[in-house]
Amino acid sequence: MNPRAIVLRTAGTNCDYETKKAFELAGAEADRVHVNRLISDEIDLSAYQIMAFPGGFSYGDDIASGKILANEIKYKLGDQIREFARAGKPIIGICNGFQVLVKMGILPDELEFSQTTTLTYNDSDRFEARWVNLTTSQISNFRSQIKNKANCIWTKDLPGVIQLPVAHGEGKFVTADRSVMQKLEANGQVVLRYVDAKGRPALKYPQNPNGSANSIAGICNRQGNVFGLMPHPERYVFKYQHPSRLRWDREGDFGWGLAMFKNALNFV
Amino acid sequence: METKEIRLNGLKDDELLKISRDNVLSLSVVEMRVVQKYFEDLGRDPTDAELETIAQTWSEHCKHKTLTGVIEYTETADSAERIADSNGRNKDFESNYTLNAIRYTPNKKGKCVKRKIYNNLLKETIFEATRKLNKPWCISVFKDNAGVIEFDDENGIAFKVETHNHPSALEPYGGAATGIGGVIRDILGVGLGAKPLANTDVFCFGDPHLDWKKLPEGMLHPKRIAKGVVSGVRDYGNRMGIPTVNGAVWFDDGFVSNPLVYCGTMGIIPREKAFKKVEPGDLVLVVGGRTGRDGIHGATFSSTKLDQETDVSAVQIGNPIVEKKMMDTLLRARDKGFYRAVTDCGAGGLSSAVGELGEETGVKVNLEKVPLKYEGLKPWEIWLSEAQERMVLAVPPENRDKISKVFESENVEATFIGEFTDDKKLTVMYNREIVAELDMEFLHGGVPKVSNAAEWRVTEEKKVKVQNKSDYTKDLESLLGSLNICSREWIIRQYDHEVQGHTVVKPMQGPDIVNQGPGDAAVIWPYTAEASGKGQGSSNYKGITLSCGLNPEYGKIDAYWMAASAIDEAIRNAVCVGADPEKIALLDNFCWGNPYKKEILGSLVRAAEACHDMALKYGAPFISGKDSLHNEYAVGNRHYSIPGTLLISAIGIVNDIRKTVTMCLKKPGNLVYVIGMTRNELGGSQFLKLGKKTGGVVPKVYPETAFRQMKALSRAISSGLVEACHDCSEGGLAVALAEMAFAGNRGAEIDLSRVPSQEKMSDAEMLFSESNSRFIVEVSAENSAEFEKTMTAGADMAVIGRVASKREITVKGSKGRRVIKGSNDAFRKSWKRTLAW
Amino acid sequence: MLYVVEIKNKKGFPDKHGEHVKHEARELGVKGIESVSYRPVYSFEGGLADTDIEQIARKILSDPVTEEYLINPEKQKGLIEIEVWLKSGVTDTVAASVAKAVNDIGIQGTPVIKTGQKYFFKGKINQAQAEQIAVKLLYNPMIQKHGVR
Repeated sequence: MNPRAIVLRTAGTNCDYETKKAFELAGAEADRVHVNRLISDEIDLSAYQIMAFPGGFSYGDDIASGKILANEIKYKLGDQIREFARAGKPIIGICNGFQVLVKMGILPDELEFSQTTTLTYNDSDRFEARWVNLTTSQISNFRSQIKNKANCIWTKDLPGVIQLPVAHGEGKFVTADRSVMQKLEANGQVVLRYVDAKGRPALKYPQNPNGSANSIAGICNRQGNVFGLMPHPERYVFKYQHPSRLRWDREGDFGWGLAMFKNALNFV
Repeated sequence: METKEIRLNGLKDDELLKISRDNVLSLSVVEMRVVQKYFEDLGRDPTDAELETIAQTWSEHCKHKTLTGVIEYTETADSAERIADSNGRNKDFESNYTLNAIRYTPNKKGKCVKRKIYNNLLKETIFEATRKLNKPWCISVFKDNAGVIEFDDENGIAFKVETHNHPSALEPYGGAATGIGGVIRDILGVGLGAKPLANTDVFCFGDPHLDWKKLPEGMLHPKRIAKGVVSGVRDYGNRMGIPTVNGAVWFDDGFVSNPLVYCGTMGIIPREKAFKKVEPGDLVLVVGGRTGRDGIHGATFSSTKLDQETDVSAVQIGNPIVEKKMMDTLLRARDKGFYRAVTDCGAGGLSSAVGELGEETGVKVNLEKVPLKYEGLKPWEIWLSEAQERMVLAVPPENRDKISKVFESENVEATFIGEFTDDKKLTVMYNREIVAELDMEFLHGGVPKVSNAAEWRVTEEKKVKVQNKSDYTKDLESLLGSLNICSREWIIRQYDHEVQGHTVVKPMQGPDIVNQGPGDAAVIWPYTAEASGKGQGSSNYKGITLSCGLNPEYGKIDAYWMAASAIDEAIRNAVCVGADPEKIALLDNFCWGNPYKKEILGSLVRAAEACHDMALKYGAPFISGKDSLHNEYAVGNRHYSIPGTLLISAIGIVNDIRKTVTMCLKKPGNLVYVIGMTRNELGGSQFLKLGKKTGGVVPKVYPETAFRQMKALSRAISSGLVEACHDCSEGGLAVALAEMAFAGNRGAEIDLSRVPSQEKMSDAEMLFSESNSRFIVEVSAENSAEFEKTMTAGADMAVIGRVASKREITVKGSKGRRVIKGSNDAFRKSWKRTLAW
Repeated sequence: MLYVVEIKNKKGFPDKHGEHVKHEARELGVKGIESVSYRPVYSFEGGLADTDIEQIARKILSDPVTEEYLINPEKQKGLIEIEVWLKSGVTDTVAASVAKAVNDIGIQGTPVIKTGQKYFFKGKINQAQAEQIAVKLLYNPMIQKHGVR
């Protein structure tokens, strides 16, 4: 039987179709489910092995991106989601989904369940839609490169540098204080970083499209099953979606975004 | 009594006109008299709601009275040859454009005059071309809220472009946002509802560097309007999850007080869902947003001149999340077959939507059932409100509960307000009181035909003298930085152009983050919308191109050639990326000044005639269109009118998206070809504008040759023989080459003496002339023989240089000496700097 | 009881929007502006207690990592304050979202909610200049009203 993935949505979610399609291409069965149906218990979360919070503008990004949905889920479905995370099942939060996960407190630590990080307004003070270079290797002190230290299920066996598109107005990753950041780095929870063409962490715009601290584009929890990222892997599942024609001459028809979804499937 | 009665009986003309003005009806004396007679025959006075309904339905915006009315059109010139010349009928042109009847009669003053009476300009030009072409792949044209063409066996593609000019001048953010919101609803309201796939936005603004002191009193500064419009479209489009993948921005002093905001949406629809049919007994269902006083008098307002005292309530406020929720649930209800017809509430609000749906059958509604934003609305206000995010559906009674459940499940309001009858009447009630009762036939067919005069004076075109220089590097740099050529990256990157994951040819193209250039057209590969969704990969590689053409500068010389060039531009942009030239459909959107002025209407007729001629020659049918007239601003006695601006938008089918092509140069050593003839056509060019010169010969179109070459190029592209392709437009050959070079981070070595041309031209003319139908194509040495064979003998084609590895452009002039040498970095910097806000 | 909640950035988190406005005001030709700061502002009227407002401000309106909230703050001395609100009758879509969020965290009551913007100008500018900046850059008299203090 194929693993089943639930793609959560609400008013303003808009990347759900392609996220569902990405799971299907990877070999899962996927359902787009409105949060109302989970809140009313019409749908049972235990029927699913993988959970996804897709991108979009939940509730119009009113007040702040993901804030209203984060509160709604925290107060009405918080326990169920925590349980899902603690059980080690894969959860992914993409862009708006990432914002929801950190504002809800599931990331970086689903046990502590409090908000210690956030994604705030881009340094450029505007929406940024562009492709970026990302590294999935651990980088310590920005001088040496260490292979992926984190246990992150989603980014296993990805090459050192990949490209993905970003599209966000509030993607700047910051932490409440330095100790939070130090812990993340020490635990190997930083899974994706913006880099320049040579693979070095990018601090300058536009390689770092939003000014994220430590060039962070994606993090996971300590277990490695809950993963949040600002870039959109579901938009690079076919090689034809890559902006550069020169990259089309690769083996296989698929983009590196699909590998992330396949990783989740292989895990369950 | 909530509803007022208004006495018309026995009133004289000036009194009738006063009523029209006091109630902002925008009805003429003739129209008021027709209305007066209708009610005299009924033996009663009209209610305020009835007058308002008639006014909305008969407005220019809804009925296109001017363009479907009688137009007496005259062309005058000193000689018959001059007229023939300007219409492409002298010996240089391929064939006689005798598609419109011509009669030359010298008048008393010895001047030559062509006279033609149009009984319905739109029908006899634009519709006529489509009718004659009779393409089997057109599914629905000019009938519904959008045009629909075939995509594959199961699906069709719907496309619509609307304008929202007047509201954007008053409140740029809200006006532009509701503009895109409205056109999205047009796509949701075509047939039984299409799923939006992509947006296109074209804006015309005044000079953003205008000195504040020169700004007319009470006007918003063009830069502020530009920022507001861009933000408005961004926030609405991004929230709807529809990628904005194509567009254009044009700057001209003529748009200072009247910005133009064209918003377009393209969607996919199952072919079986492409038609609607209302049956008597069906229930009237309103879904989406609540009703308030927003935008009262929108349709009649858009047909009037703007001035400083314009009524505030004409501004509409948008809420994209309400529309997104409505879209999600509507498509669910559609797929379940719960309703039989749908249309959007646009101009005129419920009055138009309900009136249109019920046109064939008759309809009766109870306004007290309409959900309101706040208390205190009069019945006519509820009926006429243009509150956003509302659609009206015809629901078979047996589906009442089922459809309600769908909307409720996602917190979308859906309220039944009436039913469709078979009495062919429009009956509007409020708490059992009749608010309006009109015969559908009178409402939709009773508007009297208008008659207007149009005139166009043919003037002589003279070639302009351009100073001969030894080096044009600085000119190219300045051109690249000029307002109508420079990078629009600041705008493009604010719009999510990748959402839905379908965008395989993107608005900016290049090998990496830093090196990017402007794409010609976007290509959408709708793999998530396929009926057969599951499984590995996708078996269907068909795609859709989205492109446009626009150049108001040419229109200042001759609107015929502006229109022809815009059509050529939209089509050649699509061909550049890989569209099949025989599967391209067009949309026309006219934004013009005051049509009651002969010369202004005359230029519009010119443009319409060109649309007819070129559509036939290119085999590209028009499938939908819109017009926005009276784009004029009055301060006291002075009138500022816009330059007549025709936007041509095009959708094309790509048979295999794996064979699409981008514009950046790829590999050093590859050959650079030019396809198409370069002529001395600097009239209306950006080069002349930069040098503050006027005059010159405006670019013409030679459609038979152009189409033949486009078909050949398309074959070459789908055979994989082309590495890069870019068309020449503003700034000519020089700008196109520079863009390809800095986009691809490669150089080019070019020899102007190899460029195909029919006449002797100076280097400046060669570099910057904006002749139509030209392509710059990169082909590898190995493929060059095959490429040339595919392009067929007789094509205007030549190798003009090579791709170089040194990142600069060098161009050798006709005399063999270097006339341009500049680095990619310098050109790119100039190109990026101007609009880096 | 009318509550006004202002959201300000914590120290260490630069006010990018404020900087943007300063730059634009200078482009207008207004000299003497030292700095501009920006705060979103929310007003609640009727049906709420002090504890409710505190919860709303903390859990909904402000981000605990980057922002602080101020309830019914005093006017700051030495600064010119420009506030922008929607005219009555113009739909406030964000206010509707705030109402939902209030409901989601379990607070009863249906206050009238309004959203607005406040800009604080530090420097040597007078009332007339502030009015110019307001009408040219910060609000649209079509649908918004403003105040300068």
